[in-house]
Amino acid sequence: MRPKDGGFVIPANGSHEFRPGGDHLMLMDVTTEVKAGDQVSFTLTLQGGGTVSFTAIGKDFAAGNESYLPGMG
Amino acid sequence: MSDRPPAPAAGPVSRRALLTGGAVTAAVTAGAVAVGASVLGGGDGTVTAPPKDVLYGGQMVPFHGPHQAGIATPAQAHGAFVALDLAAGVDRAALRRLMLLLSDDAARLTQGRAPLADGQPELAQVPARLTVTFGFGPRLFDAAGLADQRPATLLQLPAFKIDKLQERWCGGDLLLQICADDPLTVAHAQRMLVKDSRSFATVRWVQRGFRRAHAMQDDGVTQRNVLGQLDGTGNPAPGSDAFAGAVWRTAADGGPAWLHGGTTVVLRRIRAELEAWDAADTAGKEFAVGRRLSDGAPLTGRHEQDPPDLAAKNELGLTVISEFSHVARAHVADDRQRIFRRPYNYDEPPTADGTADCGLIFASFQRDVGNQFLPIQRNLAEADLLNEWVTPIGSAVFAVPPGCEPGGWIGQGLLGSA
Repeated sequence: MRPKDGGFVIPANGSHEFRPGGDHLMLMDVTTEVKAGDQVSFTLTLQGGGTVSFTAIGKDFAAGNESYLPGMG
Repeated sequence: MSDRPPAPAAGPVSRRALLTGGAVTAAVTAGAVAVGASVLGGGDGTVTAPPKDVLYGGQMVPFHGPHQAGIATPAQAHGAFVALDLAAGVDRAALRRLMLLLSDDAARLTQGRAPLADGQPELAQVPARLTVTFGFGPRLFDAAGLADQRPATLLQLPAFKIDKLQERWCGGDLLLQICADDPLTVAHAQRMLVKDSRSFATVRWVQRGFRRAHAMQDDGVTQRNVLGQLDGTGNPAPGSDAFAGAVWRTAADGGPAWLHGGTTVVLRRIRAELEAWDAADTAGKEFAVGRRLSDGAPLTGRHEQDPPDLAAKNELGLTVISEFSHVARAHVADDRQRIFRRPYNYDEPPTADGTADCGLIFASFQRDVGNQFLPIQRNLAEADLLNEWVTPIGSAVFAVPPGCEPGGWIGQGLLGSA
């Protein structure tokens, strides 16, 4: 797993699937514990300055054989 | 074999013979091996009458609404009843998170969509009328610090003399009733819901049951249980006023407001004593139940839905339907006192000597356990001829919260306020 150089480019009115084992957002150095069932508010800031907000539910998750060491494949 | 129902038992039957399960008939085997005609083809295993091209797997039942699904919903072919015990320290805030999480899973799964972080998302693509119905056990209210919001009669049932309860089938803090027409759909939903409950609860018991496969019969047809009886005759019809009055709690019932639009469920695991049942003859079985085995008609009537005439007498002056029959003991005159049964069969592997381990996962929905279920159960436990052939081995009660709208979650009315 590694950071995506240059981020994701999503065309206007397009979509980009995030999924386990594929592209996803990863939160590093989270200081507040996320408990299962917590509703977590997100605001994504786009390159152009616009924002996208959504709420996600925290879940326990077995990570699909991904290595979660930053920088590793 | 003829499909024609046999004539009702002629003449009076000795009560003593019935009570002892006597009057054993010799098994009549002639013709018993004939299978229904025109099902199999000419010996090559092909089916001669292929069904219409229908795909029931895509059928969906809405998750959101004023009532939870899985109650008025026609009973699907497969059901899993999962009782969870809350872990120590799970409080109201944790219960909120649990129910939000499970409601989100259920909302997606029932609509053919994979829940978040589903390891097998492809399995969600066949919803097959999946419903997930949640129930709150008596102890959940204590864990939530809301003992004053527990319905007054939501207590584990008192012991009845007919019971042989086994702890492994009793109690539970949170019920997940998972029903669908496809067993793999049920298994997948159960896996996701149990997995997402792990941070909060442990599995106390799971009871898996089945009915006839989807579309083997019309939804409205009363199905048979493993004793061969039509089971569910006399149920108030979902959608009718009688059903609503018996099942859904309203402000008129008093009690906690959060349960308005909800109901309660009693789950009893009832073992069928098939060895003894097989030793009884048809007349004895019908006398015990008060209905004919062939078509479910009361012994005083011609059709299944004919009301039993409990006063009708035979030429000896005895009531045709015994006052000790199941029908007579379970009879209630007032629609508001009725219960709605939504049972599933179970059939575990027989013992080495071939003794059956099967019976009924009896699920009964009613506004109030104490005012509706208990009076009937007391009547049955006291003197029901059928008791000789059925043994309750599990028992649990749950309050069933109302449904929720999109954006909401099940139990919000109880747990939602901080």
